[in-house]
Amino acid sequence: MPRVFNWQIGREMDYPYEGSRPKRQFAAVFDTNKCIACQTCSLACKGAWTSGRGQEYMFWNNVESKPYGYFPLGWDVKLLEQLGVREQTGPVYDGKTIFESAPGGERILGYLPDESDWAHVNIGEDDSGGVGIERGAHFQMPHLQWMFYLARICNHCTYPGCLAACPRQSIYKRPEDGVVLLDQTRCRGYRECVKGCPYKKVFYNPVTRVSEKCIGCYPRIEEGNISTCMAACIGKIRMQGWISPPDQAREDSPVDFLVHVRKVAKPLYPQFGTEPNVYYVPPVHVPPAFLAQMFGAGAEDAKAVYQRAFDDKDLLAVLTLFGSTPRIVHRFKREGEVVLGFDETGAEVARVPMFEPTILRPFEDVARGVYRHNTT
Amino acid sequence: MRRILLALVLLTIPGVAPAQESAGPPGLVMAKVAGKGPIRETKAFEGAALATVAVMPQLVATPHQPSPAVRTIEVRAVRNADHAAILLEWEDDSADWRTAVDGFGDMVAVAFPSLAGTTPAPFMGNPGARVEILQWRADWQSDLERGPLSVHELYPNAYAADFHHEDHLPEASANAFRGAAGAGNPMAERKRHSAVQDLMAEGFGSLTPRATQSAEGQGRHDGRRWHVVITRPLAADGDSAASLEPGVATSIAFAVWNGSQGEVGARKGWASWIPLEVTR
Repeated sequence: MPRVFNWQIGREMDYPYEGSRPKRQFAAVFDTNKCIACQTCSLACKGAWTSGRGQEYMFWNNVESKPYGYFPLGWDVKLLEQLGVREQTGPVYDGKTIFESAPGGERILGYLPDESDWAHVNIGEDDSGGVGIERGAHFQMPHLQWMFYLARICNHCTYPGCLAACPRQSIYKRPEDGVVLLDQTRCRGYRECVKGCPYKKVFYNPVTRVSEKCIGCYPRIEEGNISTCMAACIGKIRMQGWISPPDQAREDSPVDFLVHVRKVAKPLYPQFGTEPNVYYVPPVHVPPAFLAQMFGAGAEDAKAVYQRAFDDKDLLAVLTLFGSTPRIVHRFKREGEVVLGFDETGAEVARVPMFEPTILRPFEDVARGVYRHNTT
Repeated sequence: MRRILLALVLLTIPGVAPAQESAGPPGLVMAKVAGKGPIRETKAFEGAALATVAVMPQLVATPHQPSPAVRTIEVRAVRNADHAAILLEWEDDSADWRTAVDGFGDMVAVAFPSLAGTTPAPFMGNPGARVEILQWRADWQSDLERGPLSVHELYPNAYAADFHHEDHLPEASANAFRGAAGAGNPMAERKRHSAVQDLMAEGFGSLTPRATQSAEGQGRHDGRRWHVVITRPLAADGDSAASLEPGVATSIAFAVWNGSQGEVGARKGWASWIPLEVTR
C-alpha cells in the first residue's frame, strides 16, 4: 500500500495510489461567519448542472445548519462514529484515517446512505444546540445557543475517497487543476464512490444508473473564471483560488495567505485523511470542542486571528477581496487601504477599498435650517 | 451376477444411489437442438445435461464478497444451427428488478475465453488473455418489458418537475442535460435492445462493453428461483467475441449477484472455468 504525505494531519498515511500533486490545485476559503444560508449557491449549481432527470435530489452544493442539519442525514456523525474518538492537540493526527481503518476486504471505511437519507436536503435548518449539544433547544436560560451554516461542495481532495474506492478507476484527478471528475462513460454504477466519499458528495443517478459529482465548474476555470457557486454567493463568503503545499506557499496568493500564512482557514474534518481543498474560517461563536472535531487542531487560534482582522491590514485586505470579481485571483496586493487582485496574466481584476468612506454630518444643517435625524 | 443386477435396479430408484454431483461429466455439454435463431425458452433445454456449479466467495480484488448470497447455480446449455444458449437457475427468494438509489438489480453472467483453447485467469481474464462476458441484468429486462422507470415511478412522493430541457431541445444540445445518457454510456440508454450486455475484459477492473452487442436473454422468477436464458450467435463477430464453433473445446465461468444483498460489481459470487463442449 503506497504511503503519501498529508500535510493537514502532519504525517504520511496509506493510500491505494502513489501520491502526486497537480500542477495547480483548485481550492477555496469559505467564511462561515458571513454565510446566511440564502441558498443562492445551491440553486446556482442546480440550475447549471443538476436540472436533469434523476438529478432532482442531488445538491452538489448544499448549505446545512450545524449542529443538527446534514445532507445526507447524519453523513458526518455516522462516519465519525465508525472512525472512533481521537484526541489531537498538536499538528499530527495520531488516529487512523478512513483508508487506514478500512475493514478487511474493503478499500475504505464508509457507508452507503439509505434512500430516505437524501430526502430532505435542509433538515435541521436553524435548529440550535445549547452548550454541550445534548438536545435541540426550545428555550434555555442563560442564553448560550449557537448554530451556524456550513456551505459544502466537493472538496476536490488531494487524496479522494471516491477515487480510492472505485474498483474500475472511473474517477480521476486532473493534473492541470486538481479537479476530481467521474468519467460518465466508464462508470457502471457500483456506488463504491458514494460509499467511499466521507463528505457524501458523490450522487447516484437512478435514471442514468451511474454516479455523478461536482465538476468544479471546470469549463469556467479553464477560462480563468470562478465556479458558479462561488460567483453567485451574495454574502461574499467565498474566495476561490489555488492552494500550494505548505512549503511552497505564496504570500501573495489569497488562499495560501489565509490557509498557510495567517492559518485562519481550516480544512473540514481533516481526520478523515483525504486532504480536502475547501477551507473554512471557523464560526467564532461556537464552542471549542465542536470546532476541534470539525476543523482540527488550530481552530481556536484561527478564531483569534480572525477576530483581530481589523488591526491586521493584510488579512483585512484579503477578506475584503472576497466576492469582488468573477475572475480567479492569482495574486493580491495591498496598496495602503485599497486591495488589488490580479488574474493569471497579471491583469488587474479587482480594486477594492478596505474601508467605506465615512462622512460625518453635523446635527444641524445650517444652510437649510433643518436638523438631520438618525432615522431609517 | 444377481447381486449386480439387483444393485443396478436399486440404483435406478431415486434417492438410493450414493450422493453425488448431479448428472453428467464435470463440465458443461452444449447439446444440439433443432431450429435456428435466438433460443429464448427454458423448455429448449429439456434434453440438456445439468452441471451444478459451486459459487465461491470473491476474495481476490477489493471490495471482497466473503459470503455470497447465492451458493450454487444449475446450468444447462444447448445450441441450434446458428445460436448458443445457456440456462442458469439459482435460488433467490427476492426478484430485484429495480436499481434505485440504495438498491441493486439481480444479475448473472457467463464468461468465455475470447480465443478458444486459451485459459485466461478465471478473474475476468488477465492482461493479454481476453474473455468475453455476457451479463444478464434484471433491471435491463425490466426496461425492455415495461420501459425505463421514471423518477415519479421510482419515487412517487419525490418532488420531480415535469419540465426537462432535454425534451425541448434538438438532440445535440439535449445531450448536455442527459448526463451519462448524453455521453453514450450503455448503462444509461433509455431504449434498450437487450437484457444482456455483451462485454470483454482482461482482468478485474477492465470490463468494457463490446462495440457489437450480440447477446439477448430473458429471466423469469418463480417466487423462489431465477431461471435465466442467455443466447448468442455461435459465430464470433470479431471484436473479442468468443468462438463457440461446434466441436471446439472451450471453457465457461460464471458470476452471480443478489441485488437486495448489496451485491454489485466486485461484490459477487463467482465460479471458475469448467470445460464447455459445443456438440457437433
